[in-house]
Amino acid sequence: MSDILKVENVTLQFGGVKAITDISFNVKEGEICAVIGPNGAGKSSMLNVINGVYLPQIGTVTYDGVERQSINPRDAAIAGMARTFQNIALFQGMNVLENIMTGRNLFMKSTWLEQGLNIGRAREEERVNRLAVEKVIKFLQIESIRKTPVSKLPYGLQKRVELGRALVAEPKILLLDEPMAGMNLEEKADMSCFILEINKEQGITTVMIEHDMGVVMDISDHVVVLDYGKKIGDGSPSEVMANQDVIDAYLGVSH
Amino acid sequence: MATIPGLVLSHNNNHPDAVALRYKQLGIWNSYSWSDYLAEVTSSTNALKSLSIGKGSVVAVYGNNVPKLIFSISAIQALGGIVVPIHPESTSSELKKILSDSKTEILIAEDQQQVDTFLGIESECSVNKVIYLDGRGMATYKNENLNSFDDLIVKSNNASIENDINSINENDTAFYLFDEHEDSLYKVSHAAIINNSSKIITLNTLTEKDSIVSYLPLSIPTNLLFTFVTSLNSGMSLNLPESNQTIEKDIQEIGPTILYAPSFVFKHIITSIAYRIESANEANYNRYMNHYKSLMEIYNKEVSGESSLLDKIKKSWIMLTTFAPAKNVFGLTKIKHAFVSDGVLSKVNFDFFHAIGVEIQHSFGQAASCGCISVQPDHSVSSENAGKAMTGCEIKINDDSEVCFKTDCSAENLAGSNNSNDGWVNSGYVGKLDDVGNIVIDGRLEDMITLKSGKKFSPENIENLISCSPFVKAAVILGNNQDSVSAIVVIDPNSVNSWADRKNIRYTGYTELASKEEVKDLVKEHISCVNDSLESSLKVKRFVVLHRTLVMNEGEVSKTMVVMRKKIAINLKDVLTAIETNKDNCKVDDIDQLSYELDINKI
Repeated sequence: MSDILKVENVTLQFGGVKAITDISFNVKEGEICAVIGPNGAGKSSMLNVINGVYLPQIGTVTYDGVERQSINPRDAAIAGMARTFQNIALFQGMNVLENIMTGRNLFMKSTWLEQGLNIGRAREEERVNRLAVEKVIKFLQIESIRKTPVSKLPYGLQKRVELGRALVAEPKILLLDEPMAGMNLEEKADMSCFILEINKEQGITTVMIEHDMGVVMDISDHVVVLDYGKKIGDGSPSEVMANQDVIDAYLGVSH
Repeated sequence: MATIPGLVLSHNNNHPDAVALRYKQLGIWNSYSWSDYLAEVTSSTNALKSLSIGKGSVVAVYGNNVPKLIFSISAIQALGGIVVPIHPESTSSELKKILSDSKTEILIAEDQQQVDTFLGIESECSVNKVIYLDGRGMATYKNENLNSFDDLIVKSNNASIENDINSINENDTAFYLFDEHEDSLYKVSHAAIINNSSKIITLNTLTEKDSIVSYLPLSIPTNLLFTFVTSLNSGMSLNLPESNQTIEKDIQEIGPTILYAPSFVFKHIITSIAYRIESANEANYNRYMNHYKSLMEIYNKEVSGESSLLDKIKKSWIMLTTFAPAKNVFGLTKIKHAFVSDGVLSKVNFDFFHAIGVEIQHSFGQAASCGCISVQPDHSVSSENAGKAMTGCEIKINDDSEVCFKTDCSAENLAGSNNSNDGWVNSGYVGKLDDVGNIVIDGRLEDMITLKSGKKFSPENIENLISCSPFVKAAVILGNNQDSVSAIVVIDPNSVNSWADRKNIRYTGYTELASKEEVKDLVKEHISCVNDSLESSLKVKRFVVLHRTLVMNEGEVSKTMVVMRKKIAINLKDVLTAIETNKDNCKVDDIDQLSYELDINKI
């Protein structure tokens, strides 16, 4: 299978702080790639470089055959990248349906006037987009809360809604920043099932940052390990588990 | 032509455009007219024909009420097949029992959950083909016997099935129904179940203008009769909710005129009201409590015929400001008949529903009687009985106080008949007939408890009284060979949560909440009230607040939330032993492999 995403020699600095140092890795089309590492290893920064939130000083990201040093987040979304965030970034005052609907923003061509008056293209667009949203609501089994304001939902469900918003954008690649943080065992099992189904049955490539090693080793095809902004491991879950540098980074090493 | 598929055909001929079925999908209510219904049944029939289903073939339908499963019931029967409805939450042992006893050849499963349960016991039964409706999650399954229903439909033709339908006989077997309590299957013919529903229709003058919601699986015999068969027979619309989590909202949107439910559903409505009120602000809480008190006072006056004009005005005001909106939330605004089976509502709850204008009608029936032998008439104000025997039925009480019946709509036990010589069937329930011939059910015969003193009683009455509190989800009464009666009490997580929040009680989860002294006091206070209405030998002297709820998957409660004592005696034997040996506390090694310390409280 071809590589959908290639990160080559990326270095990212904030002033004097090097967040990422000379990192390269490839993500194959159709795989689940997990990016792991201790706190502050540069995982979220890596995701932000991939979808254009941060501009790396050195290095390039090749996505879908196009090599770029930087990409505008909106262009990244148009090109088929969707993501979720470590700290939930939903519109707290809106309900689940409306929140997920915002993920369809790129598919709406009608003007605000048409939308406001519900005339012309806006009517048909509303119907088509609502259908797409409802399919995702069914997939994520959140029918019973579709009209509930997200601020009233528990954390695990908010994470699910965020995944829903990313999914309705019909992405080619999904970037998930700690999709299971703060969840209980049951919620993690549900979320793992959803991620696996998205990947295996809808064929969406997934790059995921995750701390729960059980989940990572269970569901990912490929694991990239970062520590202090450097890549210390890259390979299948079993290879990474046997890697001495990774063991040292996680368990500590005597100096 | 009174067969299940025959009814579909005749509705199509008489009023093809009337609404037959509504189903909420992707957030939108979709309706099927009778002509759509027949078209769906036709395509399903042709698809099933390719699997060589014919006269006498046994086909199980395993899942929730989704349109495809509903259509496939008629489709199987149009080919002369016998339908075995199976509850979607059935355990693998129950599934194995049903499939092997019925000699099921083909299984139609709703989704991955059902297919997985089946695959675990595949080698132990005679099923040779599984058809699934929703293939989600099964892309990697390599079992050759698995087929998608959609694929079958695409491959099949669309020939008319009128001749198939006309060639089946009303005395052919239509269903094998499973009775959970007796653990056996019953053979039900088209004529028997349709005639039984005709009795309900005539008795309550149901018409095709009515609508009913079917939200419980059709494997529950009473539900099959009251919703599926009755809607087909009368031509009223059958409404199916979107998912198990959206039932309340969906009923509210449909506003049905007929409601059928086992007693636990009505109990759940009471609990839902309670927990909302417990979490309401002080002003609303007080208003509700005052209005509730006044409403019940006026209702009691109405029953005794003493209500004045002032009472009527007061009641209108109370209804307008408090209970009409509450009724609307639960979709009860348009209800004309609310049928209750599988247990009776306690007097407090029964009276409350009648006071707000939801006329509860208790009924009694089981698989052996095609779902119903008696139902209370409209405007009945007694919470104790389950009505008189319907036409064609006779009820008598035998020497063991067991209810026996004779009905022209009977079902035959598949394993061998349990009829005595002269056609009387033992129901397995203890009861009595009141002065005017209404049947009063006390409980199951096998559940009867005998105290050391020789006093014999049915635990269900006391359990009903204890669980009428919105804070109690279920109660199990114990006392065989003991000096006094004891109770295991399961608290309701929702209402007790709200109550604890109101009282500023801190807890982390259900187990801790159930162990709080304040909660024990709450239960104790309620049981003391219940004790006041009981005779002295039956007063509950000790109780345990259980650290978890009863689990349906473990068989601790039936599919209609009736307590299953045998299984509880096994799973909670530590509690039972501690109570029998008069201990003050006990250590329970539970089904989750963990140990819990429970106090046995005295009253």
